[in-house]
Amino acid sequence: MIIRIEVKNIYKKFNADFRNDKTALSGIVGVLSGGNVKKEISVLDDVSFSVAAGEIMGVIGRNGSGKSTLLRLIAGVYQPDSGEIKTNGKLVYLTGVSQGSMPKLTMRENIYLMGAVMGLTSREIDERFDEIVEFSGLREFVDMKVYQFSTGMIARLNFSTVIHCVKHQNPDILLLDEILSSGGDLRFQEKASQKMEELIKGGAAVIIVSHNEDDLLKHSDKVLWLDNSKIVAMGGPKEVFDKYILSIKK
Amino acid sequence: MGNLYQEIKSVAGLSFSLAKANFKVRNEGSFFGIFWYLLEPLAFFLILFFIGQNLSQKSIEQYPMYLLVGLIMFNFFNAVTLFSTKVISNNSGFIKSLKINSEAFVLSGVWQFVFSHFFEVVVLIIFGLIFKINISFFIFYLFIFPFFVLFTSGVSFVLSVLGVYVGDLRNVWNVFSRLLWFATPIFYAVGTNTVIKELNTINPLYYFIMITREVIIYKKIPSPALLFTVALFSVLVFIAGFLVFEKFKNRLAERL
Repeated sequence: MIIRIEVKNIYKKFNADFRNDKTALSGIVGVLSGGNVKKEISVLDDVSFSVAAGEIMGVIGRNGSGKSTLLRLIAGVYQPDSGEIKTNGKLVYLTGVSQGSMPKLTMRENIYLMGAVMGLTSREIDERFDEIVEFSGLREFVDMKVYQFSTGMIARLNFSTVIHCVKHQNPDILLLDEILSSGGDLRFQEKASQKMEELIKGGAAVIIVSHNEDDLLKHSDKVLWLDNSKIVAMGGPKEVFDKYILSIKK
Repeated sequence: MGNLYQEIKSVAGLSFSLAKANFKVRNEGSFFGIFWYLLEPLAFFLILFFIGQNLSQKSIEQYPMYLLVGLIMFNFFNAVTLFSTKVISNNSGFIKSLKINSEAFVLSGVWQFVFSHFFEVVVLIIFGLIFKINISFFIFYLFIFPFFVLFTSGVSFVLSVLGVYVGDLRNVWNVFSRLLWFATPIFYAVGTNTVIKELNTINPLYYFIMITREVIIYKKIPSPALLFTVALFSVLVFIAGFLVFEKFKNRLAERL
């Protein structure tokens, strides 16, 4: 059994007072008035687990319990303050499939751009291009600008592009943050969830963050429950979920 | 080593794709959009062409060419660096949701304005023909410009990191670059023993613009020592800027 993800005692904190609109002016004023007090909140505290190749782990917890931060740490987008994260193999992290397309470009241009962002060369996108367009069912709109698309069409374009790019990369580790549903009409959703399932069951170590009970129960081998930056329970999906639901209803 | 090569290749490929997309968006998919990029230097050219020489202490040979070289080189530096102050926060969606080489976003700005600069150079060549200059020495710009790009990229790397921590950096830099515009001998010549002259001994832009003018307009080759110093300086600024970016890049996502 190959361990793909190993997380050991990680701790992560954020500066609670850090304002996004911090400016040169407010910085100078802050220094002069001595008003820069730091307050830290811990987002993840002493979290450890491992995921083996072919294993699928679901993560549940209330909003703000640290689920997305956990995935970002594993993906290397954030750095832990202490503890250790080891990953072994090609990693793909997916979140917010709905973002990323540029409305003023055509569908064709968007496919190439998204492919490039996801790390494919233009030759590799060439190879996948027909497949992506075919799957989206938007063949006749390929050279139309995306701002003229409906929301559903954009969802279909994004999903098809992302899923095919991921498939092309053939990841050993797959981190999915709230992206199991694809958007689009019922028929497309069905097609999409089938594709998603293929991807999830393709032998990679998978972590899925989701609020959808059905999805998690269907896919996961084990479930991790995070609350208040700590692990509350980890184990069989049904068992952890029942505890979780019970705690919410209390 | 093979890994590093792959990494560089992927950053180059991604930055090029991003630049192409931005360029298309900015120009609405047509080359007419380039007109707007050229408008500023051309408008300044017209104004300064008529009043600039009166402001200068001594008369300048081939003034239209002298002026245009200064304008387009400064315009390139200004456009790239100003773009870089916001480039990380403008792409926060990507940076927070993908493990991505964020150098590519900074470099995409550089590429994008290298494309645009190409059109400015075309205008320069046209002016050269109109003012009956022997344009054969323009070929040497191909050797000067890459170093100018290195220098500009180095500065942009630092600004892009700083822009994440300082929200109004764009405004600050905008004012600074206006001041720099006036301090750099773009529409006037540096006289002897003036404050401007002293100031420009520490102004890197002055050296790039001066060397370019000497070579392509006046067909004089500057001293090898000067050329070597400027080339070395460009490379060092690039490396320093890049190292600053590398040091901070893993912490940027949290600040967005």
